[in-house]
Amino acid sequence: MTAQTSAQESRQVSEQASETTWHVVGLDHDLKPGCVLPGFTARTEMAIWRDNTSQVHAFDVRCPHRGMRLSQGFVRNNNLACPYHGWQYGSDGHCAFIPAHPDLPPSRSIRAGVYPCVERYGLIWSSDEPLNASNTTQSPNLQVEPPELESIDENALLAIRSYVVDRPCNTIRDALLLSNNDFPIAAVTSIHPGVIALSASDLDNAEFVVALQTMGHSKTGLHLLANTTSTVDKKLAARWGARLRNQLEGTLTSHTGEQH
Amino acid sequence: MAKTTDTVALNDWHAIGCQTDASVDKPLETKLLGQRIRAQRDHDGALTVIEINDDSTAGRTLRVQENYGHIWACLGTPARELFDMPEYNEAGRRQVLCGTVRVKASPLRIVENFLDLGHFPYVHPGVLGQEPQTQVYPYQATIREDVDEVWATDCRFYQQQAAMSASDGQETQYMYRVPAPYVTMLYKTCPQQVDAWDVIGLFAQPLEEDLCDVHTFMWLIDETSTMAQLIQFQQMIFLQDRNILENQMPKCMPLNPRAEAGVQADIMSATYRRWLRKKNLQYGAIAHR
Repeated sequence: MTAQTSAQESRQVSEQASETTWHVVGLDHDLKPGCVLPGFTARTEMAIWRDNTSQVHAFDVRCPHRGMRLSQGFVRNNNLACPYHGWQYGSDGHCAFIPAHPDLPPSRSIRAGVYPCVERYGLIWSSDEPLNASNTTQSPNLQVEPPELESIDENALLAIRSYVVDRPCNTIRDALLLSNNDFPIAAVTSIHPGVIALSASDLDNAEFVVALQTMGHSKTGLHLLANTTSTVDKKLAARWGARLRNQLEGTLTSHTGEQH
Repeated sequence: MAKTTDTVALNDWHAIGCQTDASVDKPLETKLLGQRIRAQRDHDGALTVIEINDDSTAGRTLRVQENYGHIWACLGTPARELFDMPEYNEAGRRQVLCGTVRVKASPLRIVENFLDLGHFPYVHPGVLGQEPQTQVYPYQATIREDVDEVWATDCRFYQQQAAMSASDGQETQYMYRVPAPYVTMLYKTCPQQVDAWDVIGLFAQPLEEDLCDVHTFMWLIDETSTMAQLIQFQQMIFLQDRNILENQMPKCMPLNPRAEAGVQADIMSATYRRWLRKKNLQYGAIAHR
């Protein structure tokens, strides 16, 4: 590699990094090696999967062959396999195996869309901006800067549970941040566009991190993590999260401004 | 949704239900190509199919005929006769209507899935296929200009239980036929009689572009299985397909040959899509401009 191309590549990497907008798509402990989960952002539906070496990957949900949802697929030979015809895609998105023609290497042109995907703070993060087809063997996820949560100690976080709230994401975020005693929360701080730190005023002021995930226009994934610097029982915390979800749904209108 | 403006679809015959679905006492209320319709018999058994207007008043009367155990209607002026399927009346065959299944999918995706060998080991494992016997061997697929139909021949696949009457795994021979855009059938090795073919097929009735009632049938050579067993076997297979069909994106089938990847095993699908482009069939498709 020449110095010039190296410089070009690092500039491309930094440009991409500066543009990466991270969205939470799940709790990392919910995705075991060799498993697949559906992933949603405001604009994209994904298949989130973990390979046998514990690396996480986010693929566009459509299989390039017949448009089948890869989120219903399975991991085989450390590749993501489509449930329709068993076509396998490697971590770079390129098709690695077509069972109908087991002796023929698949065309390089057959490739699943790949999005950045990293794990940090007990959360799986992805972005709506697909990664370009790469000719390097480097994991595409190393091309991007991971998300940073200021003032959060990654080692002090304990994943509690994920909830689906049947209300739009911005409604929930605004409600939590502007909570006028509607909810049993205090010390509410926005630390990232989708992440809020708060304490539970009805649970010994236990400290939590709440990560919000836009799921289409009407639903929100609410991912609850406890800050272990305050003592909290995991079961009680999970129940507290369920109460918060019920209170959010009970208080907030479901009007979404959907156009139909 | 309003009735389509796709004249190719409007001027073709479409199944709208089984013959027994409409009686004197109970009319059949359904939809076809976005248009609400009602089929009703008089006391002599004669059948009338009418459009139902948006205000629920009775609209114009449609052309109708009964054949192959089903009611067929045309919303426009039929461009051709209903296709011929001589096996329906062949001596020695059992006529098995396997029921109607509603599927949230395009009729074209439903037909294409029926024409597909490669999905057997993944969607119907242990029955119509099984890993590692996943290979799709070369076969022929053509548009037969003389009859304006798509045919595929010389197809074969190793199957664990090719039919209700199969006792062992066998390499099953197949032929496929598409006589109309929303109709398909196959001829496959009959486990009980050498040199005979079982006939299995479906009539997709598009209610909307992405919503169908699928009427499935078998004209079988099987003296032993009960009717319930035969129907249950076919319904099990089709419900496995339905989960796939309802999860394909986009819902309508892209006719642009570059929109979805294909391999040699998919030449049947590629031929079907080419035939649809040539016909300029649009309902259920994303047109290739």
